[in-house]
Amino acid sequence: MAGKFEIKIDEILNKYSAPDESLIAILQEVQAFCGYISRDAVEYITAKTGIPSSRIMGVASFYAGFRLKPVGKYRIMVCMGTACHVNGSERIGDTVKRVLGIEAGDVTEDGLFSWEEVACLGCCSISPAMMINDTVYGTLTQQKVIDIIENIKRGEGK
Amino acid sequence: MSIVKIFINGKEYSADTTKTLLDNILDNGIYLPHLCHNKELESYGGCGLCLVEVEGIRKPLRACSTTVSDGMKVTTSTPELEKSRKISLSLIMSDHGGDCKAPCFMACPTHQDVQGYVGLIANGKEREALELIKKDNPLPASIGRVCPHPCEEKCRRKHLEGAVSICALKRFAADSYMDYVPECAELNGKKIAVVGGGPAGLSCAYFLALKGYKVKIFEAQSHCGGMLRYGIPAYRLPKNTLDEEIDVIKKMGVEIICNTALGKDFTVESLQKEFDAVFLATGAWRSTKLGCDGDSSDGVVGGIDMLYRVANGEKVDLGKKVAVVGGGNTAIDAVRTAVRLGAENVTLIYRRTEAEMPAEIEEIRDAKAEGVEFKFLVSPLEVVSENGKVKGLKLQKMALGEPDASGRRSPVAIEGSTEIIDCDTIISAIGQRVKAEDIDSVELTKKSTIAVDERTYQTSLKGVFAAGDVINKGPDIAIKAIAGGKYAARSIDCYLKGVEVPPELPVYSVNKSFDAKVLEGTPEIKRCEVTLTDALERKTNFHEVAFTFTKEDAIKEASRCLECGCSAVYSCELLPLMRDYDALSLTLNGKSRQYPKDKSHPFIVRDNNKCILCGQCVRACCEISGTENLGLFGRGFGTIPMSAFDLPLGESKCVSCGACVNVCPTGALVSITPTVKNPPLPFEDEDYICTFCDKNCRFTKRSINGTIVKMIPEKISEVCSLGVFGLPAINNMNAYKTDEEKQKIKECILGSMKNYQGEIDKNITFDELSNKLC
Amino acid sequence: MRFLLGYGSCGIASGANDVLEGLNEAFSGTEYTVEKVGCNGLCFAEPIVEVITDSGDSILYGRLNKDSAVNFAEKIKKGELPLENRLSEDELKFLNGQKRIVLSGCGKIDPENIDSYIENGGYKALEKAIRMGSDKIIEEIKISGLRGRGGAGFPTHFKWQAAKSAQSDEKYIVCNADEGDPGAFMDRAVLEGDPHRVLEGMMIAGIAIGAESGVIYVRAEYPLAVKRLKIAISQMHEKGYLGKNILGSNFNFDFHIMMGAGAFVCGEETALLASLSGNRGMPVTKPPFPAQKGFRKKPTNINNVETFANVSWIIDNGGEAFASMGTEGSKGTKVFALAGRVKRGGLVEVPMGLTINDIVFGICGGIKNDAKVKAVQMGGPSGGCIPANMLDTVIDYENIAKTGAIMGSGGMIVMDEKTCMVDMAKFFMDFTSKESCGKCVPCRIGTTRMLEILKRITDGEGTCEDIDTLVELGESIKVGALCGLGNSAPNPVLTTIRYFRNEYEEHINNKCCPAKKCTALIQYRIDESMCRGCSLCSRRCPVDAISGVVKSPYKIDSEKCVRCGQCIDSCKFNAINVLSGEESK
Repeated sequence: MAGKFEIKIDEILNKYSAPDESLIAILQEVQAFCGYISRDAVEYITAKTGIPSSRIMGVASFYAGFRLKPVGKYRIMVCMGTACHVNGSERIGDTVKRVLGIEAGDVTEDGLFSWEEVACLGCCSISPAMMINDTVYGTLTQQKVIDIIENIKRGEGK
Repeated sequence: MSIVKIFINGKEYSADTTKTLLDNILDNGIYLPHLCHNKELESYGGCGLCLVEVEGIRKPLRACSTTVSDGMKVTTSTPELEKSRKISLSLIMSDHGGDCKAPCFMACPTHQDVQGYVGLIANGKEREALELIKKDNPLPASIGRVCPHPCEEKCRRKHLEGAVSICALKRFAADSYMDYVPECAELNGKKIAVVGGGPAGLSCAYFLALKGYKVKIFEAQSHCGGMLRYGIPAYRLPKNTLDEEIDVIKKMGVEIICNTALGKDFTVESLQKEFDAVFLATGAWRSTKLGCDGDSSDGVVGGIDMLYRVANGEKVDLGKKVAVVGGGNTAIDAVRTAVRLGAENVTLIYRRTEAEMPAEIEEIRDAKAEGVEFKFLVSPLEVVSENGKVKGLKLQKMALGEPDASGRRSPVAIEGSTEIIDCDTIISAIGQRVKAEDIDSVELTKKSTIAVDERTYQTSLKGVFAAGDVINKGPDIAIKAIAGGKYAARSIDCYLKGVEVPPELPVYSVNKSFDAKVLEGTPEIKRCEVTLTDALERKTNFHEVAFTFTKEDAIKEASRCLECGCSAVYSCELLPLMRDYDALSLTLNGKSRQYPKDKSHPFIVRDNNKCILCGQCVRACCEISGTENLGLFGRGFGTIPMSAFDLPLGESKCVSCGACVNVCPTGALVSITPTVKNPPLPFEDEDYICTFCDKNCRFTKRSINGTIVKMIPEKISEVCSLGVFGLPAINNMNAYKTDEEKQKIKECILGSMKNYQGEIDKNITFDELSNKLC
Repeated sequence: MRFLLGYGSCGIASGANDVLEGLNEAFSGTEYTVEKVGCNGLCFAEPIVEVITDSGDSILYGRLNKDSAVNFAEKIKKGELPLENRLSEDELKFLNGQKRIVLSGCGKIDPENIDSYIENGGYKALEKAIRMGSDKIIEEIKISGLRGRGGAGFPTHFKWQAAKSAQSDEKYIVCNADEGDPGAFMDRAVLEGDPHRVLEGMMIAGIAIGAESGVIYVRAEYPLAVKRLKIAISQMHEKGYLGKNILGSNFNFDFHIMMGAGAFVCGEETALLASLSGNRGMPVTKPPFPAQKGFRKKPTNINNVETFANVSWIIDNGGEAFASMGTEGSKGTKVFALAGRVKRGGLVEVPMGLTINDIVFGICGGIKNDAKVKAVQMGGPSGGCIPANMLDTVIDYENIAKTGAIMGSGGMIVMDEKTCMVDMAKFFMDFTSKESCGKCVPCRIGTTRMLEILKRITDGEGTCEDIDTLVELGESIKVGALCGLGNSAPNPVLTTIRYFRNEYEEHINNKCCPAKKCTALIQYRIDESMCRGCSLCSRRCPVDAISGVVKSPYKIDSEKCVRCGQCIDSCKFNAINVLSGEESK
């Protein structure tokens, strides 16, 4: 019997008549649903489409946009663009790391936060910038970063 | 297909427009370096070595992905192109975590093929093992007993339960066939004089004899063997074992004249007149004095002098209480000999602690078992004597200070803290020196040793060579002397042929960033220790204390070898390019990737540390096999080929078509046979036509000593796994395989049968398959 | 009276939603409505509202927040034009000297409403192009001298002609909207602010080469752009600008959006094609060129966003009008994204042929805090740093290339004396090594080794040979790498060595970072004469490295200090000095 997971992936797959060519789009949708590209999802796509798992994993591991492990509820993306770098993004990253106490790519124990360094967010004029889920925060200072994270924590009752 | 004219390096050639420029260049017999190209695969352009200049095009092009056109003018070599190739190869080498040869091989002064002979022993082939050993070592039975085995120091198994007992395995192979006499080349008419019949002299004579030289050894003592005979006590190396090995050398045509000494019976000049070359290996026979007050007293003796007298059969009385000063193997030999001579109270005096002792751990252990007392952190201050006769030894107490240049912590005297111990004899075993006064006419070093060139072993006199304890830095271990003899013999051969002496070792890739973590998960097999006679029993006599391995023990111990040296060392495409372009000269140290070896597949071993990302395996798995089991993962520097979810090959979708192992240019993917070990040894190739089905595919059959190790298809895309893996597998089938293993091997042999013409019942048993194939 | 609120990604990030909320609340029940428009490029003053008076005058208000927006609205309601938050004369110089073609609609039209585009002259060029037909379009583009705006500056008509000449029943137009240069954002602004302009350009290209299908490969990091493109496409369908027999002609066309998944190398044509086919974005050697064998192995023309955005203007106004702007070899205008230590960062579209100084000082007002300019980085990770004394370089493809930088997509990062050039080289090398696809040796391993050497130098562990090795590796990678990313990857290092070799040598020989940026080479010290003992720095220090007694000077423990800069940020008395090299001993 198909579970919610299978039904959802079937639904995604049905949208694409040429799954080979649309692999990236499929994986983007699967990630949007699952939070990351899990082995189960890959094996299921292989079973349904015949696309070899090695190719799917090859694609998923190539693009920075795909994650092969879960992320936190709040996914902090620190912009590593040039403008942000010139305006001190390294310190922004260090501050996030220090405040959360985790390395880039990891998730806090409570599952609330994960953070990563990302390519330019295209918000160079308000550098240094970071994005938390879909919201961009600009002209950051270390103190601002601390405040933003503390605010979220407070909102989560921590 | 249409044929056009192209110009390569100014010469006109015809070219096929359906082929790439690279294939056209290669087909015309012009070599162009390349590592990611294979005619059966689509062009890739990864390695960047096949860059060529094409007239009219500003930037160099990759020949592998350039099409030819009529009148095209191509240059394959310019200083810029060669520089670019060198840098590309340097970059590849900086990320090539491969050991061409195992660390044991690199560590051994004679560079014996340890992995080779250990592997052969593991496969039950000790005769072949001994033949291999004797290519580099003339005295394996003796060395297998006394060597401090630097090879084991570097053995990677040390990171697990303990190093492989390489030394004892050598002894096992040697003891199994003591009568083996290597075949010598026909006499070439040249005569060589060897002065000194110790390990260096015997070694030099042996290797010269192998090459067809007539050698005469002049030995000052009554017997050959040097320090092996007179410095090492019989309980470690029985004289008859040494005699037997020397006999083999005699049987090879080497003449030995004993009781004839340099400076007394002949001179270097007199030898030069009679011989085409002279080799000096007179050793270092003088004990270093204690260097404290009273060290000339009666009862203070040199370690080597005492051991010599005992070995020579003289009666030696050391009294009841004996103190031996020193921390090396000679000191241990002295204390254990003193015990055997009846001393009741034997003490070893060493100025550092046990951890810093240069002597081997086993030797220290055995001496302790025999009742020797060890006193650490004390240094002789003054010999206490009465009427010129030793009564005791005053010791200065020491503490460990800062590490010195060698990394050992140097002892520092603790002011005013001394003690006195009673003794009848004090033995100084703190080193040996060369008796320089016998050596005339050649240049000496400040240490009074003979100065020789590091590479050629030639002395200041043309045609006069030297090695062993007598040269440069002075005394060292026996295997070092044997290496000196070996390389000096090669140098003498070059000298007489008028060719340049090659370096001791050609350049090899060494995995400098090896991380023991990659060994995690290796099944534990305890190191097999050599059996010893009981300590209380053995301390009363000079009978040999250690036993030779039984065959069963030897096979088990040899099977512990991790096979660190590259299986592809004799077929690697990268290694010769690396040497041609001197690619290790540009040092680009940096991070490297470290992966464990994947040995899960019956026929394929994957070692991603050696992967140079040429992408051929991935393309072969996709384009030839159609399996797409292997794929590229990750991006940039961390990119690596693997099966989905990094499954071990043996658990992946691999169908054993063999395409990947046949395209891999390095040792990242190699084929193995189902034997215990697959030692990399020089091989022979011959053409072969497979007759399993009517397709009659053509192969190159590769074998070592008559055993098939690999089948290389002429066209990878046309063969089946039966042809690629079936024959070597069945030929090498190890009798000890379990039914389960046999089943797995059978499945792999029948894995990729799409090119097979005919029917094979998938339910066939292994034995039926085996019978059908042979 | 109209109120245009800049509602692009950076406007929103700067608080445009709050402003919108404030204005809407205050305007509720009045005749006034707020129109959401794209980014007008005055990023330095976001969030921005442009008031267009009934007489057609434009007044710009910037740096609004919810409160000031409400105040603003209240005054408007009273019939006043408030003075607060108005951009000053000086700030408005930002727009002087700009000639907007690509950006002409950004900030002017409602990107989510096709009528707004049509009212402003949209799709006239398409109608005209349908009448002109393929050859005339290509001829007009040839006359215009338009060159690809994505980086290499390849003549556009040439590519179109090649794709047109290729025989095939199926051809494709691909828009490279995978703006990956970390420091360029004009494509995002155009896609968010004026998506139809790009789509119209693509369709005209479609007519030119004989393609009926357009694919937009857009960064997934630009969700707003994707959303607005989707809206635009669906509105085009409704209006009959897409589908079969467009505008009654026999021209058929449709669009397909594909989101990139995060790989800079996909800006490279062949990698982009691999990605479009659902594969790893690894470049392949050329030939075959995309014009022969591209998307779905069919002839394909690939241009970037800005290139396509120029097309409708050229068709409308004629190639000669376009060619009348610019220099001998570089015609028309170019959009630059100004960022870094510049006073007024944002988007600047000017005719080719101005100098870098004209832009940085004339238009953008110079350097933040009136500091000294050190260099301008152009061309992102493929470009180079142009030193202060060369900022009179005329901007066109050839002159910029002579400096060792490249025009690239038009990112201009302005750097002052606080920017360490070795650190910048390291930054770009870090970027390219992470973005290297891993296929070819020179790029995969070469960039990694170069990065390691740069890290060593900034860590104070560099050796004299390192600079030579960097040059040697760099030159070799330029020749040996497979694709444009690798070929140009060494540029930032090579140009900084060329112009700022002394900085490298300072790092290596004197363990000194002149810009006081490289943390391994600097120390923080409190100037006792300046410190008032307020203890704020000590409280802010995350590693408890600062100690002291209130009201007397504090001290920093260099061993503990991680040089995070928190103390400097917090000190109100400028009492904390950063020292490097000799002075720190």
